Amino acid sequence: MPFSEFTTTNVSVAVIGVFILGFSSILTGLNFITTVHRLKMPEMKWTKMPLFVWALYATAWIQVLATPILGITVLLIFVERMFGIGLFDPAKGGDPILYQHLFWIYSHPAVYIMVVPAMGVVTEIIPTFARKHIFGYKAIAFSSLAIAFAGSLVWAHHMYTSGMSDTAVLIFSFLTFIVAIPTAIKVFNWVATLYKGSIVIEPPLLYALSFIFLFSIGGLTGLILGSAGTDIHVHDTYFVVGHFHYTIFGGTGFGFFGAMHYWFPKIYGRMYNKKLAVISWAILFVGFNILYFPMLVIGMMGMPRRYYDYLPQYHTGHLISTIGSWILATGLLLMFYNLFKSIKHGEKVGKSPWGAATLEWTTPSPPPTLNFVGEPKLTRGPYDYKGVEEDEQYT
Amino acid sequence: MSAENKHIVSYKTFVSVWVILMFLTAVTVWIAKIDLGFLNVVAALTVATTKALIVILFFMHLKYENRLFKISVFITFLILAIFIGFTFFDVAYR
Amino acid sequence: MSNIHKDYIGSKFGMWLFLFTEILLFGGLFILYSTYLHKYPAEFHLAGKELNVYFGGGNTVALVTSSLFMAMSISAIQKGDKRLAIIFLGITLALAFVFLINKYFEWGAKFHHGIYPDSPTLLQRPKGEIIFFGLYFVMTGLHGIHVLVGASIIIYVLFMLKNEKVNKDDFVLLENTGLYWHLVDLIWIYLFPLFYLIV
Ligand SMILES: [Cu+2]
Repeated sequence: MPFSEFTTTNVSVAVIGVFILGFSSILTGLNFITTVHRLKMPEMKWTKMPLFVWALYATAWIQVLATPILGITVLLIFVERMFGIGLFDPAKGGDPILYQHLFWIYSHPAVYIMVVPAMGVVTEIIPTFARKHIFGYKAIAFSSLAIAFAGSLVWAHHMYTSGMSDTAVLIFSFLTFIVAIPTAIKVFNWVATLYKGSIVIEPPLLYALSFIFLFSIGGLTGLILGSAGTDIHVHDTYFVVGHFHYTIFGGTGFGFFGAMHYWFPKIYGRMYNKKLAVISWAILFVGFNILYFPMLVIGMMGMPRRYYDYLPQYHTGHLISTIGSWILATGLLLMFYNLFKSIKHGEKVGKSPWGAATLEWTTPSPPPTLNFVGEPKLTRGPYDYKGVEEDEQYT
Repeated sequence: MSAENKHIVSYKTFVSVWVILMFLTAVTVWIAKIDLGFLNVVAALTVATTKALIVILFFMHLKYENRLFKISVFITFLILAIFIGFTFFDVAYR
Repeated sequence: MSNIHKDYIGSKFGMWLFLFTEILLFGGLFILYSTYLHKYPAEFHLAGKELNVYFGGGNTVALVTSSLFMAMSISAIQKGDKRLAIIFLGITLALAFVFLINKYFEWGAKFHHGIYPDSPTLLQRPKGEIIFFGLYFVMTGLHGIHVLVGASIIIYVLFMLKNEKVNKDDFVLLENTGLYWHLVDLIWIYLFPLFYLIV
């Protein structure tokens, strides 16, 4: 029986909280899907949409279709705690592994809810600072949908050691490799966009590039976990923890930081201190790797996760990791300090500090109520940089 | 606002749909009385799915909606089928 | 540029998206049902015989008929016939209560026989039967809550019809309520054979 069903801590209130939180996720998805279909300006065809919007659209579908499974799972925990029905209790004929199925049917897609928008951010930043049309527009747009769909096929790769059937282990291991395809499509297209571009190094680009690097490590270690044979060795070790942080912190986190640095001038009409932004990025990036890379190593050596103590042979790894965490924290503090300070005190910017081609850079910064002064006109594709108007101080 | 895409379905259509649904309900109860073993499950689910399809197409107007609605409904049921079906990779082979 | 924007198709599509989440919410329970049916076919067979087909069948008739009147109520308001729309919707509501009262007696009878979740009588039975009745209470219970919520919304819409907030030109609220109500019917269309007939 799942621990949450009989622990004496007050799980009931917590799961009701999760259930309510699920509404916010679902309604966000509902809103975004409907908005993309119904509120796009008529001349913006699907292939003229920024790829960030494509990413959000794909994510929104995952939110709508996967979150309810979490909803029913937590509802069942609640009902079980109240009435003791026994749907997951072997003593009453229930099957605890089914609880794991329900949990992961949502929780695998959940990581795509986190990372696909970040991929969308990277897709916006890279062509802007390479001054080059995105390579493989349709492939990237399609790969977002493909990731969303493939995400619903692979959940049981979290359950290789749960006691489920060997057939299932085999099939889910195979299916897991399929997810790597659309992800790789994105990475190759980003790199191809950079190739022979006239690259301008600015803070958002640094975050986007580190996203590619860190997320690739996360993705490749994911393949080690996804293949059933190797997973048995590293299951429930620090290797998993390292992998997870490379994907979600290195991926979602750095994508999110990149987005903050990219759209900051649009949101506040001011620019942060770029030099400080680069310094904090560098500290963050270095600290990140010092913190999480040793986890992959000691995980391989057999350090189990979820213990506060460890054997002497893991000492060095933990020591390095801890030092890394301090460096990382310093970088984070510096970054947030810079951003918060610049909200009020940053240098003023105009409409388009980066010379990007998407529509939001044609409206004043910060945008007025209803976003645009008068009806916006679509005069160019989202990645056509020819003749883009750019703020003078930055050209 | 309602001028766009307004399609009024006649009472007659709805009543005939209702008659068919009632008939199918009777059919499914009747089939259940015959012992067909596993085929009982198949038969009951086939009838239920037919009924569900009729409800979706007529009562829920899906027949008169545009392609977006139809594709979305299809995808939703496809995903549900995957969730149920793939779980059987485990439970059917234990 | 006006920020008042009413989008008939948009709000209907939004409602459909919400229905998808309902389908998958119940979908989680259908995953459980199907795997347990696979695991305990014989026990499900025996336990299912104890459910009364007349209760289940009667409720099926009530819900399908209520769906009919809901659908006709929308046609009526589209034609501008407010009176008829209210009458049809009133019948829908009445049938919702028929369903709930029926359910009350059905559950009551089971409780009377000592069959309710975690009851001593139930726990003495084979494991498959405990699971069958567990699923029965959870699934029909969650469905019953949906009937109750649907009925409350219908009452609200009745008032909106009465003071003409819902009218010939702006009836999407009624239509979306209808969609919700048909979904409740749709789920029952599956619950009925799964619990009362596949035995
Ligand atoms: Cu996963």
